[in-house]
Amino acid sequence: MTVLAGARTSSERRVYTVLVGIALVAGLGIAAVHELTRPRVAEQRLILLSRAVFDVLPTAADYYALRERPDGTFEVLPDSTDTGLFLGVDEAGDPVGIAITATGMGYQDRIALIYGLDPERRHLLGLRVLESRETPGLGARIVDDPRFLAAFEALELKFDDRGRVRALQIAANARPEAGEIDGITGATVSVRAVARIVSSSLERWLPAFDGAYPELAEEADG
Amino acid sequence: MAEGLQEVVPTTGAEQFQAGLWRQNPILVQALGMCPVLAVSNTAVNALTMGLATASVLLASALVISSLRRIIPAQVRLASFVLVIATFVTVTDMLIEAIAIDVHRALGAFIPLIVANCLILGRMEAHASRRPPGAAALDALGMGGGFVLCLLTLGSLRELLGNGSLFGITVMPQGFEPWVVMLLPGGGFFALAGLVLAARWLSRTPARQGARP
Repeated sequence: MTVLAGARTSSERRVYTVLVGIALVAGLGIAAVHELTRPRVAEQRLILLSRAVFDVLPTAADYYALRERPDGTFEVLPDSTDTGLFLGVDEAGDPVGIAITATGMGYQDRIALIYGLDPERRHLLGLRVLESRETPGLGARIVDDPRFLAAFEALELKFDDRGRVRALQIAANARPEAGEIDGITGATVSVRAVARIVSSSLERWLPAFDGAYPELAEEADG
Repeated sequence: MAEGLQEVVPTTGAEQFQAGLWRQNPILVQALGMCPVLAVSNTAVNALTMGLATASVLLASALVISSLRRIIPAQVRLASFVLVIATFVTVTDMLIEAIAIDVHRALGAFIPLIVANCLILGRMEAHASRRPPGAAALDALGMGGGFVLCLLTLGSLRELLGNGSLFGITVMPQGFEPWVVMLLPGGGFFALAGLVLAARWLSRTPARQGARP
């Protein structure tokens, strides 16, 4: 270091001033662009979300947003509000299922997904990953692996002796009628994360919709 | 390979610009930034977006770092470069999400990963931090242009053979059986190898005829 301590090295204070200065300008710039792009990004995300709702509720012709009231009943809102809960209805206005968004930790960052649930027949109708930063080429395959996504299209839910929904199982040669999904080679951690996120979300919402769903059906009708 | 890697100091602006496009092309000659090159060149749209994003980050960072070259202390130059690059990458990431959210989803983690692209950090250390902004911008345009062209060629080739389409529009005749392997990671290596082979062959021909000094 003694060799470097000549004219070429700068004082400690200057080093800090420059670094802090660059970081401050950088932070301000990022914040400004974030503010500028926020409305447009929100609009684009809503379009993607509505596409995802129709993907996980294939028989839906329209949908409403739902919000849970403190007393356990649900409030029906227009579809432009993103409450994370959506009631899909067919052309006659009859409910075809609920689309539920859920988030949880993946391999290296949060995974956000949406799945379709038929609370009466107690099975899943579909699943799409909304946001993820899994390893490209490996974990990221949970987003577009057709076989993996197809497994959720008629997935039977299983319950334990006390009537609580059992966690989704990952198995080789999975049988969807037994609540099992196929893994993806190279994406084990991400597949487990998806199963865990869906399972804990089901634990939360399935009991809530057990009583409320028939009423919702009437409300949507009227 | 050694002759291609020699840092020939370009004298005129035009040479500066052309160096990145062909003689010192970041992909074909310097083999830099290979990870995004192989990973996102499976369709023409992905390749073009990734190429343009990288090139604009390169250009913006080169201008800023070249302007600050007398202010940034030598001890923390790499930290400063990374700060500047990361800022432009974050901004680019947000802009792409606002403009084309589908492409943003398809590229996933690769846009934030531009921060770690050695092409950009390499150009900052080797060039932008030692030259005035004009020269740095020309160099960045040349290198960025070379990167975009290569990535677009790769992406088009892979989409054409692997899916029979170009920019999502089917162009191959009805009976064409897509080579699915071209869309998979392996296809990226094949296509890149073919491209480098062709480029080496093209740049050797004039040398044999003695056209090059």
